[in-house]
Amino acid sequence: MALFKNKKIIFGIIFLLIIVTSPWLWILIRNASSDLFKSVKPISFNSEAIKDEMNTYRGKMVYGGIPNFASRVIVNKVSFYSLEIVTRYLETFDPQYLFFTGDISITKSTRTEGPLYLSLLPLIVVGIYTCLIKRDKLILFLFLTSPIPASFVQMHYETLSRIPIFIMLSYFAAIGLIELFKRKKWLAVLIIFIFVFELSRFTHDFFIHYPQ
Amino acid sequence: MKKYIPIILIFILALVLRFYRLGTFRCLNWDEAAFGYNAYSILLTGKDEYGVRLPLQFKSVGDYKAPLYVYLTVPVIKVLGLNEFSVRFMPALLGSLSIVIFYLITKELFKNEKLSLISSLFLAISPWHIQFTKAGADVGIATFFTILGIYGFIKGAKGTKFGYVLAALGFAGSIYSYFAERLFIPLISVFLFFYYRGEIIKTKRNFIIGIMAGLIMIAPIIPSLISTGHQEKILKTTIFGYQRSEDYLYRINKEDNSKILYLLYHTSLFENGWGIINRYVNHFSPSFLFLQGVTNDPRQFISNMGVLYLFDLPLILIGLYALLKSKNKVKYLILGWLLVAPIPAAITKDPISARRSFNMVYPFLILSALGLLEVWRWLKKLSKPMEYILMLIFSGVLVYFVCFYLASYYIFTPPKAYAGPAGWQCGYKELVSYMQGIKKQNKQIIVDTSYQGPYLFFLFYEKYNPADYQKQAHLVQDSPGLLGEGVGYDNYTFRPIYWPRDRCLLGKIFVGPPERLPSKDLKKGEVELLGSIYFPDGKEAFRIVKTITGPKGYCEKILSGK
Repeated sequence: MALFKNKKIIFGIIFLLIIVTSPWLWILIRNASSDLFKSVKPISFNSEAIKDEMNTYRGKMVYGGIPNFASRVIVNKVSFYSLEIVTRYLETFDPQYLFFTGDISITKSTRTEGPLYLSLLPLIVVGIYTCLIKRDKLILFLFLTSPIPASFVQMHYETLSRIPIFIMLSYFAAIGLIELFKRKKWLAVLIIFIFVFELSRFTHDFFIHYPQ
Repeated sequence: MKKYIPIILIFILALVLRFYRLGTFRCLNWDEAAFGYNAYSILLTGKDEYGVRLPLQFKSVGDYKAPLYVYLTVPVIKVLGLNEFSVRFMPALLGSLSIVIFYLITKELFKNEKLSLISSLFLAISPWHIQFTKAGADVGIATFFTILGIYGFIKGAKGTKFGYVLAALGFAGSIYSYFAERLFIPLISVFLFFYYRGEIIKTKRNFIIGIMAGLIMIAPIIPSLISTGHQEKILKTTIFGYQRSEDYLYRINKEDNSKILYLLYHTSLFENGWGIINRYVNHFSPSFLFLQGVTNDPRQFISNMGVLYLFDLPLILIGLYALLKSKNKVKYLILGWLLVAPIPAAITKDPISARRSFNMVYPFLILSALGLLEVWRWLKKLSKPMEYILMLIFSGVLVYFVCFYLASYYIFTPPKAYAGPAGWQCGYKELVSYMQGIKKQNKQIIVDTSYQGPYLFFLFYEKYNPADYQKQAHLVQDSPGLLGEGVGYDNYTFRPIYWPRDRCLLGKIFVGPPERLPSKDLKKGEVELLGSIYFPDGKEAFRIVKTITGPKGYCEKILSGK
């Protein structure tokens, strides 16, 4: 019992439990033999598709009576590429992706669960809020920078490049659970029950419905 | 008077953004045509298109539309005639007025003039708000009444004598205006009741008067809320009418091979419940809010943008942090409002809906305005030159995003949203105008229903006498779960064209998209191509052909049924 009195050890156990039960880890381990990294290609800053789209938009603006100079200010390489990067960065926080469907590729997701369990969502919120209140600048910095690798990957909603953020979110979930235990024990217990149910649902899906 | 100048200017900006090219910029969609024609019908006959006197739900295409928008449009049509501008007039006007009400709400809640002005400025330029108030959308009407109701409630709780009556008026108006509000209004009312329970006890007399007023106002609509039509609407729109496919159930049962596993993980109740949670959290997705919006619905879609500006994202986060940190009790009201708002959208079939989650826009913009004030406060701590430089940069970013939005709204989006029943249904106006020249000389004109709702556009643009239509009105629905089509009037018939059979019906006019009337089957001598109508991008929308003779030997077989 002395072991459990040590907060850091409890935190470490919870954090590890969340990681090892996470769908993203199971699926990546299961499909480790297939070439998962093949689809992880960086965004090309000379992409013809983006250039084409940009030129089409500019053409439409000029045709619509907007002066050429203004069309270049509104639609330009910097704005379009920035939008591509920001889009991928923010996709990381898409709840549909994180908790419901995951990666578009079936080799990186079962498509019925996201990389993380939905029951972690309230814990993550509490965890982030706790770190904000405590002004844990390093953790918040790591949290905000962890989606950066995924921001430069061509494929939308790619999972491998988002492993750092899954780890960060699991970290917040562990903090959140401890905080919730201190304040609303019944709620923490309820969330644990839902988590166990989700875990069983995932394993059911993983072993029975997920393609072999 | 001087202190009102900023809000007057913001109101004028809202009016300009909403009324600029209101009638001409976008094609009419079939909902707008239905609202407009029913208002016209009420104006001339006091009955809807089916001859029902002053109904409290309009059957229309089987979607049982809420009544208030139609009745508010009646006087506008009386003055301005039946046209696109008249149909969109009330949502644009009430949408602009919503900005003033929003200003009053934020002022009442925060007692901060700057915050109120910034919030209302953000609402005036909000893509989400403009999308539904610069169109003939019932949600554009409902939103005005909803926030009027919320304002009234707040005033009532703070002791204003007729505050609760105003709340009752607003909430009842909202219930009479839009389907989703029939869930949102009870939810927000209960929430406000708990939030202001202390104040309500102090003002219980006024509160009871408000409740009585509300009950009296909504009493007439209660029978229609429990009618078959309303039940049909619920089944069509919400998850309660959703049925999983036979294929899916067969596969699941086969793979599970266990009743227990099915009951644990795959019951309809569990999967639909899971779906509701999924749709609920989808409405907080950055992709929806800041990047893409609703990509699968052209009427909600703004190209390359979310429903909020990208600059709102950091401001909302900062605002949220500042609000949570503050000891102001009002934070619970804002957060509660935000959390309740997506519930009507979560129980419907669409994965995401900017229309049904529209009430989220207000708390989000309050957070954004709070964020801006917080940033402003930080900037004030810097040296003067630094403060000005950063302010200039921020203003530049804001102006850039607004310019991009306007370019997207007016230039990039229309080519992606002009067709289909979910889009802006271009081509019908030109088609109806074209048909006037040949209508009288031909016995039967068959119009294809692929783009849905042609009868509404013909009635609307022909300004067809409602009294005459009411005698012929007949809606065909394949099932109660699907929207229907008016079958026709005079010499018009509206139905799907099946060219292998229809090419043998000689001497008739057929109107349909190229997919229904393919070029390879329109042979010279057999048919006469009378004309074509084009979409704004030059793609062919409709072909108008007249059958002369059928292919030799073919039609005899077809018509004899061999």
